[in-house]
Amino acid sequence: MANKPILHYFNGRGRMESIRWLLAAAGVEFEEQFFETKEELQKLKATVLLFQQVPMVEIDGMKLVQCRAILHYIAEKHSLLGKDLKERTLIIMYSEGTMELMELLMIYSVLTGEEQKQKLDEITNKTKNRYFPAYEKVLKTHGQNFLVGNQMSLADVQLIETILMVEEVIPDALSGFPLLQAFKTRMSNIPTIKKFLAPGSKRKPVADAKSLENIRKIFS
Amino acid sequence: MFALLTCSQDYKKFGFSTWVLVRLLVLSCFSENQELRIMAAKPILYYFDGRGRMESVRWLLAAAGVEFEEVLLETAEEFDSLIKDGKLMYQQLPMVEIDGMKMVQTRAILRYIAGKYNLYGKDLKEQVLIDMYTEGMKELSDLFMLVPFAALEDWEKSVKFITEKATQRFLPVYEKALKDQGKNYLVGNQLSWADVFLLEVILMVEECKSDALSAFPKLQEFKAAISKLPRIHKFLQPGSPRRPPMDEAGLEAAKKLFNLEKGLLFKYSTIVLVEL
Repeated sequence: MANKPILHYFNGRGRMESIRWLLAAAGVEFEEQFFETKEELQKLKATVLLFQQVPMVEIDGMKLVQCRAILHYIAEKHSLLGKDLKERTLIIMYSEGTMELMELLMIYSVLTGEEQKQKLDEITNKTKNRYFPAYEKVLKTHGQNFLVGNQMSLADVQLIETILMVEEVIPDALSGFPLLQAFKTRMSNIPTIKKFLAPGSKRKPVADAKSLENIRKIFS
Repeated sequence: MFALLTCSQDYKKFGFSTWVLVRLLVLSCFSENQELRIMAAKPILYYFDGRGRMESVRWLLAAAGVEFEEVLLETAEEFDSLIKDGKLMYQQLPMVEIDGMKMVQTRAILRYIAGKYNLYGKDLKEQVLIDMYTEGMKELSDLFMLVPFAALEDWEKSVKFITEKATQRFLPVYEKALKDQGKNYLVGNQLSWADVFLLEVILMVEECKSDALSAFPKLQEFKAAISKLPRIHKFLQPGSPRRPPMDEAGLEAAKKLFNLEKGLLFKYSTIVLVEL
């Protein structure tokens, strides 16, 4: 179990970024193997991908696929999934909401022109009227620093990831959400997360046009 | 009365929920146990009268032997009312009232039920296998759910596309898993959520392509074995909470309720299927 997890993906955020965040927050060092061509991906599909899909993470002797399976495994292993079934369920409820919003942002990143503009409107609307109010309310109701059970969990890591992702396209997204602003500051200062947010970490930047074109080619 | 019940060998016949209710009656004579009262209440499912994203929840509760009630929404106004009452965390359905919680997000609901009723494996390794398998099934089931919403002209194309994904990508994985396991459980040595979900998905595929299992002998055996389990068998009979496939009327109702548009399938198929 001393081997570092190995992440198999392309060199970009996509669906692997949440996993990078979680491992980093948990203080787990990991390695990455990037595929860069269609042929390399085909080879992976033909050999080690359960549903011929990525992300795939080699960890503890297993080749795990499916984001949620991977995230929940890592979270559980590192005590980031609550102390009982009820806490765990709340964590997953909150995590799923952030993943919905991140999914919209992923779709936005591959659209262009008018379609992209409409998507941004949708994201802005949902961020300000659906998702951020929901999390602000959670924090307000119990007055604690973390979303569930007064300690850091998968939900907190995904929420900070989501907040930063949203702010990349909607800079004033947190205006009107004072508790989320405080949450963002606190989370960003947690040592493992602070390290992940600093240059030189394995955190990936937003994809530029060239990377997007390359990704399209790989998955075509 | 309590003594009588615990001595009685027949309490199992009454069904778990009835036993709990009676015990509760007795206990409430002696104490105000709020928690027990909440735990004894049947889960309430809030959705429209169709399969959609709630069907997997109905399946799992049935497999766990849990009786439930349903609040079936019919108009956008009823939906708005739930939202205004602050009952839906993300203003979305499904929502299940269970054990004092207003649970949303299908994945959270299913994992809670699986965890509570011992359908989630015996350790973390079994759990992650169940997660991997069920996530694959969810991808497939989400595609099937979109079929009725495909624009009419795309319908045949949609069905072909989805059944191909089923028979080429997903079903072979489960066939192999069953073969490697050498028994009619996908994971470990007992029934899990993964088995219940797999049966649901198999039946969904067969509704679109009746011979979908022709190349998968292990899946055929699995289907027969799981369908025979008493609670599953009961759920497959007429009169159970199981819903039929969506028809024209149901489609119109869902569209009105959820404000949906045509052509959803192909609008999202590139995103759904590109392994981004």
